[in-house]
Amino acid sequence: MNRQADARARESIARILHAGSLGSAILMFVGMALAFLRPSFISKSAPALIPLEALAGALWHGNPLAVMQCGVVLLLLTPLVRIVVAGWSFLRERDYAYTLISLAVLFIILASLVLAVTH
Amino acid sequence: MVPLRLLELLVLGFGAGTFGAILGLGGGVIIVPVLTLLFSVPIEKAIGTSLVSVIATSSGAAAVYVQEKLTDIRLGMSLELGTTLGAVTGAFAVAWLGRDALATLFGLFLIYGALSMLRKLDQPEGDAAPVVGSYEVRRMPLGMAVSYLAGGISGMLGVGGGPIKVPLMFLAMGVPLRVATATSNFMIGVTAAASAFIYYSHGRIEMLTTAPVVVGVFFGSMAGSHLARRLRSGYVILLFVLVMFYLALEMLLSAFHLSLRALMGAR
Repeated sequence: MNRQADARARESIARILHAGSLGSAILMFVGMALAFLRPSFISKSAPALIPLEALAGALWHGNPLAVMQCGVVLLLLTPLVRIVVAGWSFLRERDYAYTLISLAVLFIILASLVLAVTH
Repeated sequence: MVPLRLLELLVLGFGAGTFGAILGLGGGVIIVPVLTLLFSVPIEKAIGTSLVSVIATSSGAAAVYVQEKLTDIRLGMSLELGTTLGAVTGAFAVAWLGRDALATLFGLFLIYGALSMLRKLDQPEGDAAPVVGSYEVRRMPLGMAVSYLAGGISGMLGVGGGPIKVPLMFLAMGVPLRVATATSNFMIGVTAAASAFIYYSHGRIEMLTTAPVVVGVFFGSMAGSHLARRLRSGYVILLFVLVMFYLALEMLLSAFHLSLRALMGAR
């Protein structure tokens, strides 16, 4: 029974990863297509990276850079999802040591992100 | 101008993805040199693009379903403590290292990678499907130390680090080869994400360069996984090793502001 649940958990992780990476590929592809159709957005003066607050608005306007950016961020998140899912299943198995290790890995990544943003 | 370049980047990604799927590498090993040498992308942005494509090969491979059964998540997670710390160190260190230093390091890494690929030629695949946890993991401290190093290299050069992680687990830590490969694949994605976030926030991920390369990598890795079953991997490895040695030479020369193609053209 436990092994079946384990196999199903592994399958759903794989499906999540695949869906996330497929979604990001589609976003990036759509962004590229938009870049062809609306080259006006790709000017030298356009910012290299649209800040998070402005991202939703830029998406609404069909900014190709915003669409591609969303694709990149989504892809960057998929390994983190894997860690969270793994940590959660460790917790359910009451494997507290590995739950902590998973949290530590997540913490390292997020803390360094905060460090990078504040510098 | 723009459409042609996008197409060329797509082709680059496709090639990298195909080779990556056939040989079990992330493909970053080709992406960074070609972007730097051929597309004149500044090396730190080439590395940023490469990191994103490494995540693509780690998360998006069709083999992900199969790999899940063979991944030793506990071992991978423990070693990830080392690699993520290393990756973060590497990503921040890039600001201190100059482009020439990075190009030199990359050239040296290419040579190491090419040599370790040559060793693959005599290694058997190992058909028996091993069960995760049926072996005893040895030398954890060494594993952590080398993982830190692998993470640092990944964060600084934008490569996956497979050529370091797989031998570490398989040769030094007593892990069966197929488990080592699957676990390394899991770790590579996490390691790359760790440094990619930092590159992202420092503006080193250029959308117009990254999107076409990554889309190409997705298609390429699908094509590569299909081809992998039909091709004689021996020939592919030899071809790849030759390409890697050539790129290594060009990268090392570029650190001294020289170029093999220019030198030969000067005759």
